Amino acid sequence: MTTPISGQQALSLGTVVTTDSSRRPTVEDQVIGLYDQLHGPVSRYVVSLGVHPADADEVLQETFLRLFKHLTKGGAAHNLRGWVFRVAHNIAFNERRDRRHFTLPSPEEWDEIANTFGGDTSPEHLLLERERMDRVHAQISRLSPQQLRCLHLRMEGFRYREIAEALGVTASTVSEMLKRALVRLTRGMHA
Amino acid sequence: MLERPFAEWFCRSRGQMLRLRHLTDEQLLQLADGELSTAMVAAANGHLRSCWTCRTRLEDLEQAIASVVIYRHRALAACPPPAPGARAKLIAALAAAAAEGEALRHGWFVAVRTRFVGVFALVPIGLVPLLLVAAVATVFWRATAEPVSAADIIRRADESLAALVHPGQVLHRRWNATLTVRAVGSAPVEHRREFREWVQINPNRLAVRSYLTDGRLLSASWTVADGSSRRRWMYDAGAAVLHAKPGSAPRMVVWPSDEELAREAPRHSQTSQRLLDLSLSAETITPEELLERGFRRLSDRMNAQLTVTAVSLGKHQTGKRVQFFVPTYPMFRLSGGHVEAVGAEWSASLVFDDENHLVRSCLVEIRLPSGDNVSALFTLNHWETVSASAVEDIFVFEPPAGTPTFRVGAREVLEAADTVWQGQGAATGDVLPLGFPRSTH
Repeated sequence: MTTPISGQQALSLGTVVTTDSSRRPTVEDQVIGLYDQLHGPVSRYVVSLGVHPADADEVLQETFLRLFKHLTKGGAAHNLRGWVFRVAHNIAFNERRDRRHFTLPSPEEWDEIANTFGGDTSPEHLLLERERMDRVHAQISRLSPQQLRCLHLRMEGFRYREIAEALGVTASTVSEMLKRALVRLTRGMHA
Repeated sequence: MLERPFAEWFCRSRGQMLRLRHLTDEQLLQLADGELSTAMVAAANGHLRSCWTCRTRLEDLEQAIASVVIYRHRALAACPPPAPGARAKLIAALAAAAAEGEALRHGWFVAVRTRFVGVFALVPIGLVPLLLVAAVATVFWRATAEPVSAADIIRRADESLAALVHPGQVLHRRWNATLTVRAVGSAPVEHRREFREWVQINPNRLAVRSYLTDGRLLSASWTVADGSSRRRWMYDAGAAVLHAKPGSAPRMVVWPSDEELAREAPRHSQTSQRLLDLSLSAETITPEELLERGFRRLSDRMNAQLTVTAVSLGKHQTGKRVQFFVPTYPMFRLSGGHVEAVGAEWSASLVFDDENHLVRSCLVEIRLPSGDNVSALFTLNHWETVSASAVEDIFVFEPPAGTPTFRVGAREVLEAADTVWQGQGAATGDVLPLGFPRSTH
């Protein structure tokens, strides 16, 4: 197992604090620490945006390489979590033409759907679940890109203020986007 | 009570109001997300305790959230897993970037020596001059390969425009004409009037194009741009007014009006002398002259546009876009002394690699006389150098039945940006994509 930083460490909004006095953490340590913490959420986020899963790793590599350069040049180190999501978002969109386009698979395409549901696997329950996921899929497909971004970032645990900072909009805009998305989803579920 | 902060009082007042009316969708969502202020949370919860409707709405909202979370979880679970070794790859990339930064800090000589010390050790000193000659020959070969960059096209387009037009210049034509206008579903209406035309080279003012033959107005189009919007009307031979832009209702236009003509007269009097050579008259104009004197003038060039998107393909660079204008032309057919419009306009978008002179795709858009737009995107299967021969046969557009076929290549794009239009003479029956001379090779 590779551990980039020895000793106890705490990570708060991207700031690595180590208690090991024998070695000062380098910028590389800091970036790797953030990668360990965020590669899952960032990868999920960019795939949700339509980046092909095979390309998501490349987006992550580029993102954290830019983070390294950012920190090396003495860039601001506050809210690095938001910084990482924002840069990954920009890379995913700005260079999307060069990448394979990907759409999240629909419930119809989910393999072994009975296994993923777990619990009650009776045919009636599976059918109801399948219909519910079909409705969600249909409604999500109709959301605007901005609404979708807000929704995915919110699902990654971001607060409105953090989403606003990552997307370059105001918190009230985020609130409005999320409201519209969820109203549409709620109505779609009851349609 | 008097020392109570105003904000607290305000929130409590809003909270009291909140208890009396239903919560909005946004308030419900903010409550569920913990984004409401403390005072507002208390008021909202108070309302929820007393309002079954809002409580049900909140439950619906949370059910929707739960469904989305489950959906996303399952959709992502169905995606292929990430490639192994990504973390090690990142560590290696960071080490390389750190080493590169370190080398830069030590100066370029040390960096070069560090990187290429092994290579230099293998090369005998006597081979150095040969290598230098080979390097110079390579540079010379690349220079004579006639690659075309987006910047080069922009420069040439700018030069061609600068050579043909002076900002603020007003061109003027005047003749007596019988204007036959027929609206869809109505009988033709004839207007016999003095007809004038201005072409002012100013994007914020006015651009006019009109074509006259055999004593009747065959085709005319007007474009008025006021900086924020662009309106365009088009007359076709004996047909209705076609409005090319969406968002405005089609309308019959006889323009400019007499009042507008009178308003423009003083402006004309100041510039007519130097524009004398551009005057035309109905008695002498022929279709051939129309081609020679009308279509090939700048007035035919000024409304055209070609969008070139230059994309840098460097691994760590973001793409950039460059836009500029070059001419597009209406397509006309010479037929027994008449000129027929057989196509309206087209434009082409090329995607260039600005650094390596590579072209990746071409978007051709054609606006048909019916007002419909036809577009086609051509993407190359492999990278090609932009030169006359390399892309000549790539951008072949196959329009729908009834639309004339033409081809667009990098050569045509470049020649259209040239200052001098070197087309060959038109013959009766020819279909000419005006502005793009037929290939000479």
